[in-house]
Amino acid sequence: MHPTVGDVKAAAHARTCLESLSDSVDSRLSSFFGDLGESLAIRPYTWIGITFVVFAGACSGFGKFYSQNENIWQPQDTETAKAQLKFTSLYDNPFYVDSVILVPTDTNSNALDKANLVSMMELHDKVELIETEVSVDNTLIKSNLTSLCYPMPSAGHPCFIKSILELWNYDMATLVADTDVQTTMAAKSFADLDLMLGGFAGSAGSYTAEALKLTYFLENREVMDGAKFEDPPAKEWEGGFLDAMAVGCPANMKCYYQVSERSERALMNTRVRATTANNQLHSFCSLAPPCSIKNSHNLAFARRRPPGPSATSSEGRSRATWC
Amino acid sequence: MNIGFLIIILYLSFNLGSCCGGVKSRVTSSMMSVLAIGLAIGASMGFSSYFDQPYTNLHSVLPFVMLGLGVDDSFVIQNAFDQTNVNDDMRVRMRQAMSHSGVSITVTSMTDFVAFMISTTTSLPALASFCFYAATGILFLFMFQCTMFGAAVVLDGRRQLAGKRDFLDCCSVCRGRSAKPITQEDMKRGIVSIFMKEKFGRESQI
Repeated sequence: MHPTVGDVKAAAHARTCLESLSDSVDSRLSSFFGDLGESLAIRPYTWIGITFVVFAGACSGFGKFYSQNENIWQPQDTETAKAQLKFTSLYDNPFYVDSVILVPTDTNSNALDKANLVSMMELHDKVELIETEVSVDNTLIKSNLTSLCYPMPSAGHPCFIKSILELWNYDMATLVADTDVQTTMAAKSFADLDLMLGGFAGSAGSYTAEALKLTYFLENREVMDGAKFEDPPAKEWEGGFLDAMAVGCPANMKCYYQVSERSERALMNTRVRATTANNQLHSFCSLAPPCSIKNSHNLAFARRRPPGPSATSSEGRSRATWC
Repeated sequence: MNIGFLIIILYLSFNLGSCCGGVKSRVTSSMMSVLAIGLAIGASMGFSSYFDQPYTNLHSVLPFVMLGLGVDDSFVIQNAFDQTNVNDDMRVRMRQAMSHSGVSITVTSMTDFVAFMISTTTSLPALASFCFYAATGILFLFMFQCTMFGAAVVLDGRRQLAGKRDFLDCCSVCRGRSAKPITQEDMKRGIVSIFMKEKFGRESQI
């Protein structure tokens, strides 16, 4: 039995408001696209042209195009991010930490043997000779360790450097002239030596160690460059440091090193080069020496960096841990 | 990514029409679809840059997302066009095709657009930026598929009615191999369409 006209009208009256709205939207959309289809059939080339015009209009935004690959996975506007921003705006590392750990290739060897210490001093001398150039605002800046380091004269050196070599004032002649390095080391307390040596054990006169650590502290001179803080001279010098470690590691030692200002990518590139040079390289993020700084430079630790979104932009770098 | 585009063109060519170079072939139409997708990707990048959205490593997967969504729109439009009567005027056919497919495309595109726009509120900058690029890309994709691919469907329909081959038509004419204009009998449903209607649909009813 077919429905009568009255049944259809009754069914139409029974439709809900939402159904009517849905039908209305649907019919209007159908009508619109029907008109569009007819227009396409009449003037297809015109519509292709319109597409390219819209495309060209949208592409004009490429003038503001920029790429960013740092801090893209750090949540923004969260409580943690705000706390971190506050922390770094008030207190941030006053320096970068670049360090190298030297481990004798002969596993039975004592790292504190004079030959190993001399090798370490040779490596330090190579670091002292690193000279780099970088152009900043059309000005060529030449840098070396002394010009970039955190100024804290001690042990005969103008820079803040932490290593066992300070016992010989970072002077090869003094070390070579020392006939009893164990006695010289006895001048330092066990705790002090323990901060600069790995696998340290023994007692005065018969100390042993598995590894030697040489740590350089470069002064943080970051400046705003576009959307992030940069320190081109330090970055360039650390590139030289990595190269020096890759080719200058003593034959009787294995070198494990890290830098804190340069990007991870640069470090990875250097690792590739170092592998070619048959050096076993690793970066350690947790082996920086615990150290205490007890001089007036602590006053400079109050942040120079203004608070702002860029304050977090430097967090993408690997920073050494220290205390 | 080039391989991805090539695969999509081949996939589209096989699905939109038969291969290869005959009257029913739609390789050119497939390439127009992929071109529309490419334009949408470029337009979304330019438009998003207006809003200071950064481009990150994550955005390199955007073309693949857009390819999937764009091809889907092409299938809907082409399939709706194929359902029309070949003997009708092209204006009538396109009116019918677009009025049917347009609603479907709008609903799916708006759903995707809203989903991605909501995702831009995430606190992860890379993800927020990616979702913004994707959302605007879907809008441009929707527009370009309706206009550019719609126009390509018209031109392709005219070609089929004129009995011209899909591409290198002049070569086949030179060789004296003529092609016949397409008729309503040629508009057979595809294997997938037959399966969905005759097999899957029938079993679902049972």
